[in-house]
This record gives sequence, C-alpha cells and structure tokens, in this order.
Amino acid sequence: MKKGMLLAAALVAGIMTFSQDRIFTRKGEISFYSKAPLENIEAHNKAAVSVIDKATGQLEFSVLMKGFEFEKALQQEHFNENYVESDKYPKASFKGKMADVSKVKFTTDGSYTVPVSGQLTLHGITKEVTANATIAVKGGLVSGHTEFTIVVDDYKISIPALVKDKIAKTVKITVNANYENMK
Amino acid sequence: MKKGKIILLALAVLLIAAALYGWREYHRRHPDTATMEAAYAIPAPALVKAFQDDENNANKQYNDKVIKVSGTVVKIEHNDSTQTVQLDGQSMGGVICQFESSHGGELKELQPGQPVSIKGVCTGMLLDVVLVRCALDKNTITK
Repeated sequence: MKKGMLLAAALVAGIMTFSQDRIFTRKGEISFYSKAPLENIEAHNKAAVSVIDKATGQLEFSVLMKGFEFEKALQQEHFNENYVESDKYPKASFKGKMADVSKVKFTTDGSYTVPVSGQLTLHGITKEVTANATIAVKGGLVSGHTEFTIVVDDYKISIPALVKDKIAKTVKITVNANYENMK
Repeated sequence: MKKGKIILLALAVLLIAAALYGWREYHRRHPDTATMEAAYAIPAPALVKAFQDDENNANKQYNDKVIKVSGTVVKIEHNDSTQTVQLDGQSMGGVICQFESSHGGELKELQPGQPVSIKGVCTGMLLDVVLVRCALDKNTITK
C-alpha cells in the first residue's frame, strides 16, 4: 500500500517536471502579407497551437488553413480553393528547434533573440526554414515573435498565368504567441 | 441604323453591369453569421467526438459551414482584437469560438459555467474544434 502510494507520488512528480518544461498556447497568431501591383493580400489566424519545450528548445506550431481570415471574401475563397487547397491540406505545421536555448533565461524577465530552424509543412510540401525569433519573458510568462519570408513556388502553390506577374511570389509570415505554463 | 444604335447601347449597359458586378464581387465582405441559417445544430461534445472519431469525414461535413454549437462555457477571453469563448467538449479538446468583432459585445454578460448556443463557421480541429466569425445565438441563451 505504502509502496503503491510512493510509486504514485513519484509518477505524479515525474509528470510534473515533465510538463513544467513545456509551455503552450492554443491562441497563437499567424498572419501573412504579400505586397504586389495587383493587390495586397493579408490574412490573420488567431488559433494556432504551439508548444515550446524550455529544456530542449524544441518547438512546434500547427494551424488550420481555413482559419485564415481575409477582409475580402473573394480573396479568402481563392486562397482556400485555388492556392493552398485547404480541403486537401487542412493544416500547416512547423517543427523546429532554437539554436542555443541555454541563452534564453525563462525565469528572468528580458528579451532574447535566438535563431530557430526547422521544417515547415504547407500545401503538403515540407521545407527547411530558418529565422530569428524573439522570446520575451515577463513575470514568468513567455511570448514569442518572429517574421520570415517564404517563396510560394517552394510549396508548389501555383499562381494562375493570367495574374502571374501581378501577384507577389513571396509572402511574409508573422508569428506572435503568448504562452501559458502547463498546469 | 437605329438597330445598330440599340445594339451598341445594349452592349454598353451589359459592359457596365459586368464591371459593376466584378467590382462588387471583388470587394465582397463575409456575410454576418448571425443572419445566416445554420447547416447543422450540434452539442459541443458531439462535435468534438465527430472530429476525434473521423477527422477527414468531419472536415468534409462541417468545414466552411455555419454550425450552431451548444455547450457549457469554460472560458471567455478578451484580447485587443478578438473575443474567444471556449466550450466544454467533455474530453481533451473543446470548441473554440472566435467572435466577429461586431458581436464581441454580446459576451459581456456571459459567465463560465453558463450553457450557451453559438453560431460560427467551422474551420477544423487542432486540439479543439475552431469556429470563426462567431455570434451568440440569441434565441437560445438560457440563464
């Protein structure tokens, strides 16, 4: 009986240290912006899920493609139907790692810039992406921010020939996430 | 001669109509979910279960559709630009409802634990099923 309790306590403690290293959010914000002669395209998604392991610096994001909201309904329909084919590829994800996580003091207020690299999967294609991320710590809470540019052609997203020269071939992606500590 | 003029005039009218249609279509906004008929009415735990059991099928059935979800409020969050209500899914995941900014004010009196019915457009499931462009379904608010 006592042994069983001890075992249970050890197990709980084990899980706690395991989860204490992880911070997460289900309300990460991912936006993209592309500027071009024909039209600027801008969309926001505020329900990205992200987890960071503070011990190893590993991090993950995933996002629903249909959750990107455009001001213009037509742009949103074209984005889903013709460009990212969100019925076929409903999610995009990123799995990566901070280069030197020991430089980030998760317990001390401050702002830290770290290179992050990993694999971005979009439209069924996976590519290596590297970008600098800013990790801010304030009052025990962690937030992350980054910006990077992708080439749409890399992800086999085809632009119709008619508008090929009028739509930007690159897209700037902005990520903002306020993490919660796992309880 | 007269006939030619009429044809020309008809063509001009047609052209203007087409241009007008194109312009309006290009600038078309999303319709307000509150005014739209829901394709499905479903309790939050059943919606979450549908996605957990067969995600592909649930994506096909619910994505892009206006659905009316009923459930218990777990959490209400106000960010600068978005209001979010989380409904209990009675499992690991729940239903996250992101409100249209014009409907954010409807949440003022909402409390955790309250049963509620929300209309929104389904976008799929990550940890939770996510609905966007949500509005409170006013007829079914029970206090």
